[in-house]
Amino acid sequence: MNNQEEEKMSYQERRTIMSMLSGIIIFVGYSLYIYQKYNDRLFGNEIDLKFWATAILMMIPVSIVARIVIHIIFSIINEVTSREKDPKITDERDKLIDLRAGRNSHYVFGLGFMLGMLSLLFEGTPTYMMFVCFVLFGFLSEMIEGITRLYYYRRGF
Amino acid sequence: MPKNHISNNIRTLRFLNEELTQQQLADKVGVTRQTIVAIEKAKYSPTLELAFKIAAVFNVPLNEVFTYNPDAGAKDSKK
Repeated sequence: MNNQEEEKMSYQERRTIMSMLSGIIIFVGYSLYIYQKYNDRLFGNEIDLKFWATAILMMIPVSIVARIVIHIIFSIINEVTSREKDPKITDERDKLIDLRAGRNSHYVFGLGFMLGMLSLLFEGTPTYMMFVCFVLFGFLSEMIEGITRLYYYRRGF
Repeated sequence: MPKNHISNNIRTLRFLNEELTQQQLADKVGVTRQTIVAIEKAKYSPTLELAFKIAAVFNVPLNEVFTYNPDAGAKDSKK
């Protein structure tokens, strides 16, 4: 009984997977919406830098609202199915995993930032490549953060 | 899995102390149940403070709860 309980996915692991899935859904959904509706302004002959900035900044409130809604739904489903309440505390192990996940996430985003800047140095590379790098590596850094969390929660350290 | 040099008797001590559950021990030392699970399975080495808190719950010295095995890493690296 006890061993079975231990092999089950922990609340933190379920929350991380949920967070990654919602990140993918929000990123893909928002990107597709923007791409289909404003393709000319993003990738046309005359790139609208102001529009790029607006599209990226608008992603922040959209993402926050969507995540809050998804988190509430997840908490309700989790409590009903597993009968386990959200842990109210963040202990030393959680903090250590947070730090490691944050570190790896920053490495990836830093790499994306550097590649974005490098793309401006090469002639013939369109300016929007810099924004594409920022958005893509922003998303990748979030995924790496989730994968790191899962790795440490599952395998230990 | 990374080899942990520190083994522990928490599970045995829990059973000897009126079958204390993982959740009860976690509440007493101020961590989540998952952290107690990870410590018991030697997937996580607690901080010194948490180790002392766990020992205090069972009212035993620290070395009766945790044991340092330097050979565990050596055996692992030979493989």
